[in-house]
Amino acid sequence: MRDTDLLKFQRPARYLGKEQNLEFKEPQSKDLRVCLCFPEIYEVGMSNLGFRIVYEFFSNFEGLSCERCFMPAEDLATYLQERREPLFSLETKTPLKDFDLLAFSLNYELNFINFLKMISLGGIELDKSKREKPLIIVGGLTNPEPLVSFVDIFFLGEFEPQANTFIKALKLSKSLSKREKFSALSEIEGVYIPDFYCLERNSLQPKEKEAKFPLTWQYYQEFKDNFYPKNWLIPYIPLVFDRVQAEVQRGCPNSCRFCQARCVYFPYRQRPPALVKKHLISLYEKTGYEEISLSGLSVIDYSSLEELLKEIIPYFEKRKVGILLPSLRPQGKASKILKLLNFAKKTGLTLALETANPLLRRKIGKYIDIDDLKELVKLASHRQYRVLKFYFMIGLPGESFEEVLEIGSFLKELALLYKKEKGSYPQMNVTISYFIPKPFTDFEKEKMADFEELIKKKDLLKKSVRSLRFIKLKFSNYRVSFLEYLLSRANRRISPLLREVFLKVEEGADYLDLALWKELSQKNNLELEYFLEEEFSFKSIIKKDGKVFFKSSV
Amino acid sequence: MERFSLRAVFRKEKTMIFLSHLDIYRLLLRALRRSGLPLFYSSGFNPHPKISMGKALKLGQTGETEVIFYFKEKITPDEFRTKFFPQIPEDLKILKVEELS
Ligand code: SF4
Repeated sequence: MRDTDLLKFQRPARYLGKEQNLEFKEPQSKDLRVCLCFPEIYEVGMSNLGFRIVYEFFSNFEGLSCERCFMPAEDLATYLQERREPLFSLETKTPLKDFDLLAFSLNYELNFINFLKMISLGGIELDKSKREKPLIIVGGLTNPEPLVSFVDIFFLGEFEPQANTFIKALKLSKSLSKREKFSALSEIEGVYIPDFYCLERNSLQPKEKEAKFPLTWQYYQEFKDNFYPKNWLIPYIPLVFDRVQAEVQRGCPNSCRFCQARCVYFPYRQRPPALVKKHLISLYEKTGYEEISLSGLSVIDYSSLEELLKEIIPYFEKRKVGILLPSLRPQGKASKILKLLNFAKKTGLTLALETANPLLRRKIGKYIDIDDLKELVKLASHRQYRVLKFYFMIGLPGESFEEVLEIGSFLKELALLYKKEKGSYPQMNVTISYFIPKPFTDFEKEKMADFEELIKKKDLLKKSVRSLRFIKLKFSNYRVSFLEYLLSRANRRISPLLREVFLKVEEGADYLDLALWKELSQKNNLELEYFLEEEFSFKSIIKKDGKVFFKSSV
Repeated sequence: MERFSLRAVFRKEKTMIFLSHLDIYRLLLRALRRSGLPLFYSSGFNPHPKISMGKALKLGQTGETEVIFYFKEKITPDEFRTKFFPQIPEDLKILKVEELS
C-alpha cells in the first residue's frame, strides 16, 4: 500500500511509521527481518513502555531489521479483508507473512482475538503446525496455553536478561528448519517451546529430549542504565497515554494478595533516583514532551520518591512541564507527595482502594492509611480538583453484601469531607471491577463469584448510591471478566476452541457471547467448566529458584 | 512581560499531510521546547509556549500557512533558523521568517 492510499482511512498517521526520532535502517538482504506486533491500535500500543523498550533494543541490533505493526482500526481491517490484501508493517509496508519472525507483545487475555485477527490479516496460516514461516514468538503471558495451537515460541518473564543471547541465536538459526530452530532456541533460559511438552493428567510434562524442565521465569536483575527507550519516538497523533515515561521500579514492595502484577514482576527492584532523573531529563530534551510520568507499580512506594521529586521539580517547573504519577495508594506519605506537586495542576487524584471495609481490606492484604486518604481528599478540594477517581473490586473471597454496600457510605463520607472544605461536592468517578482470582497470586485457588451473585451485588450497590448524585459508578463487563478468568487458567485443550470462536467471530459472531463459547465447547465434548474446575497451573513447570518466587511472604 | 515575535510561513508536504492542524500545532510546540530558544509561555491553567497559527490546513492536503512565534527575548530570524529548523521534519518546509514590528 502506498502512503497516499492510507489517506482513505481515519487517522492515517497511525500507519505512517515515520515518527520523529525514528532511526530506521532499511533492511539488507542478509538481515533477519523482524516485525514487532501489538494487538491493539497504534495509540494504545505506542503508549506501552515495554513495547518501546523491546523495539529500541531490536532496532539497534546488527544484522537485524525491525519494524512494527499494530492492530488496524476497523476501517483498514475491513478494506484489507475485502480486497484480500495482507496486513503490513509500518516502516516498509511489507506484508506480515514475508517476515522471518513476528514477535508479539501480549499481556491481556481479551486481546487473543486481536492477535488471531492480525495473523490472519497478515496472510499467515493460523495453525502453527502447518506453517514453516514466519516464526511467531509471544512474550508477556502468564498462561500461554490457550495460544499453543498458533504460537511457536513463548518467552517467559522479562525479556532483558536474555535479549542478547536470544536475538543472536535467532540470527544464527535464520536458515534452519523450524524444528532445528526449536532445538537451538530451547537452550536459552526463559524460552518455552510448547511442542516439547504435553498435557498429562492436567499437568504439563516434557515430551522431547530438549525440553527444559522446569522452566525458569526471567527477570532483569540489575535494572540499571540500559533498557530504557532513549530514542523516544514522538508520535504525530495523541496517544492514550501521551507522555514520556521513566521507569522507577519493577515489582512492588506490597503484598496485596489478589495482585498478579507484583508476582509477575517479582522481585522488587528500584532504580537509583539519580538515574531516573537523568533518564527524565534526556527524554525531555529529546522530545519536548509537555508531560512526563514516573512509571512502575505503586510508584508512591518508591523509597526515594520525595528526594527524586525535589531534584526534578525545579527543572520541569521552569519549563512548564507536568509531572504525573499513576494512581496513589494512601499509605502515609501520599498527601505529602501530592503537596510537592502543586505546580502540576492537572495531576488530579486517582485512588485504588479496592474495598471500603477495613477488615476485608486486611484480608486481601491491601494497606490504606485513612488519615492520609482524608488529607488527600482535603488537598484535592483546596486544589479544586473537581473529579476524583476511585477503583474498587467486588466479588472478593468471603465478601458479604454489607461490605459491598459500605462502598457507598465510605464515598459519601469522603465527599462530605471535600464539601466541608470547598462548599460543593466533588464528582466521584468510581470504577468497579469484578474480582478475578489470577494464577500466581495467593488467591489462585479461589473461584470467581458467579454471575447471579455479582449482578445482585452490583444492583444493590447501584441502588444504595442512587440518591448521591455526585457518584458515578462504572462497572466492568461481566462477560469480559469471565473470559479473562477462563483464559488465564485454562489448559491447552482450550486452544482449538479459541480458534473456532475466532472463525465464528469472523463470520459476525460476538467474541463476548458466552453462549457461543459454551456451544462450541460442547461440540467438542468439553464443558467450559472443565477448564475452571480442573486445577491446571502453568506455574507448575516454572522453577522457583529461591530468587524468583511468586507467593507473597505474609 | 515583554515579548518579541517572529512570523514564519510554512509549507506542509508529503508525510506532513497526514497531520491535522492540531497535530502540527503540537509538533511545533514540542519542537520549540527542544530548540533551547527563550520561550514565552501562555498564562492560564495549562501554560505552554505561545504561538498563533494562521488558517487551518486540512488533513490530506498540501498547503501553506503562517505561524507567529513569541519569545521572551529578541530572536533574529537567523538564530531562529539555526535552532528551530533542525527540530522539525523536512516535509514541513519553512518558506520565510521575518521579524514583526
Ligand atoms: S495492588 Fe498492591 S501489590 Fe499490586 S501493585 Fe498495587 S500496591 Fe502493589
